[in-house]
Amino acid sequence: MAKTKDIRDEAIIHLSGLRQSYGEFQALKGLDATIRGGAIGLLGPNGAGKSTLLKVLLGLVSHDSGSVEVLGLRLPDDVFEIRRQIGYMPETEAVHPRMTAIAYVTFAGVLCGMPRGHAFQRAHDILYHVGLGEARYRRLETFSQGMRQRVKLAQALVHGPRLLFLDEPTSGLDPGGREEMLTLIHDVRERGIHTVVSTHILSDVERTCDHVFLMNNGSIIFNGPIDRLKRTDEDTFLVEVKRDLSGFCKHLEKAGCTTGFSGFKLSVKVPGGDDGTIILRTAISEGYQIRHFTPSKQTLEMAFMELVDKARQEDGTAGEGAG
Amino acid sequence: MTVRDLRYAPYEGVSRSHWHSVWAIARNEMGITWSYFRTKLLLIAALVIDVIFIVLVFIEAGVINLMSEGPNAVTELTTAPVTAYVWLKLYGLILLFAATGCGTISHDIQAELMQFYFAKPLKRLQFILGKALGLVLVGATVTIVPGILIFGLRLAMLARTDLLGEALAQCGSVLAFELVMLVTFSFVILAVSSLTRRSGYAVLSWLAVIFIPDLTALIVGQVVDAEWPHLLSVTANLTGVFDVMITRTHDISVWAPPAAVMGIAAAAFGIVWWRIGVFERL
Repeated sequence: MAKTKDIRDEAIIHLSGLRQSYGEFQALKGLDATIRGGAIGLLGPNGAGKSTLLKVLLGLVSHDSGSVEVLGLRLPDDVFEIRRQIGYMPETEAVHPRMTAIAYVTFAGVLCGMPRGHAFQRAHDILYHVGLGEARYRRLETFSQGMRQRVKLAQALVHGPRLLFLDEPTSGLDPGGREEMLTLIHDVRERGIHTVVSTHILSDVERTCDHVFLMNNGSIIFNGPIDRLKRTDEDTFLVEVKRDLSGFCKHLEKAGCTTGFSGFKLSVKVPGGDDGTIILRTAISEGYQIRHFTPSKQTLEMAFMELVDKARQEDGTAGEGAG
Repeated sequence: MTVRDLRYAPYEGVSRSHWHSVWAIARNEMGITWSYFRTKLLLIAALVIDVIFIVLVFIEAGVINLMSEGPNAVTELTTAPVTAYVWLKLYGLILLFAATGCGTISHDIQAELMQFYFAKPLKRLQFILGKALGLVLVGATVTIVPGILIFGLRLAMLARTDLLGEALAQCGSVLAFELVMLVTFSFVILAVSSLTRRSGYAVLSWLAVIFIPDLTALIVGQVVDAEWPHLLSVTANLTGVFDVMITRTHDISVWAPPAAVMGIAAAAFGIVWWRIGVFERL
């Protein structure tokens, strides 16, 4: 655990005024950020600029302006050294069906500059590591989706990268396969490899990541520890009573609370300074039996939606102002 | 066995130069091509032609030896068998590449492997050269390798005759021609293969690139009754290069076929360079 804490302090990516356009369309609008190590969830709705950012970080697309540093190396000057220190697991198929798993992973290692003998030996180790030891001499065309995802992870790990980019690592996996992939990602992080996970599945990020880098419309809307995003609202409680939830709601509003529905539960915001006893007092005085009573904790999904909505409203306001 | 059973350790071994990747890609390409049954079948078919030519070498040596004492002694080697050999190799290679070479890049596009390649420390030129070298090595198994065997045997057979010098010149011309043909065809194959994700379309394009100019040259040549339409044909230009090598003459100009072949190879390289550039950024 001490090692994980150490890598969290390390700044692995530094962006300064990063801009990237495709013709008239601005994909990245002057990003300024320092991304800390550990496991980072790269989140954002479709078209937010996540893929463009990954391409810029891999040196596949040269940026229009600004500066980018990855693991202390500058783009585009050190692009090949950066790629040597990065492992990339693409979202796309990216496996040759005629190759065996061992040939594919060895080939990936050799392309990263490893001597063939070393790459071959290490490919064996890595394939065992991801649970494909028994299938290493099988052609990739015979692999299931889950096995293909694992072999893609193996090719990203074979050359011993310091930083791993995982693009939709659990895409197309059944629950069992997804669980195994998340375990692997967690394990990789625990072994001191920085991991950037780009995904739409927020629960995967919640399970595996320390930090979140949230993007919308080419801009950063959040960059920091996941715990800061999933804050606990001290003045809001989730409440469920045995009968007539809407009636209880009216009584609480009379007592000065603000109420709303969160699924089948009531979300109650108490007046300033109260620790929730006002809800309990109201329930006793009005004869309601409380079944559920917890402080409201914001989930990553809620925080994500809230931040994206806020960013969209701001964009809309700015757009109206400009118009 | 799962991840928890083994300890992952970072790699701290040596690291080679980028150009090492060219050989890695070529070797990988050869492995994939060899994995197809049709490749093995075509190589065996090509072997039959080579065996026939080996027999012809023995017959030629026997005839020269028999007639060496009389007034009808052979004083110079005819170029007809060598030209026939070159034509057979030319069309054999076209067939081999149609069967196994056209998927070289289109399979990569179909399997979305470009991101796999270019997320590694790999330059576009290295990728293209690696792919081309792979095709050259596969093609060499039906051209240069048997060429060395057959013409090496011929040189050995004619070693004690006055015809050795001429045989050596023919041998050099054939091997040089085969290398030019392999390089040119490899780049043309890469070009057609990079234009589509469907290897079937790449095969059709490859055959069209070879045979449509052939037919055009034939028709235009008949109509205008001149030699210049042959410069439209890929195969005629290649055999023109061989004619220049072996006879030092050509019907139009000794520079025309080599210039045309270089132009074809350069245009093909340009197409591959552009297409891979597009995929690199996808």
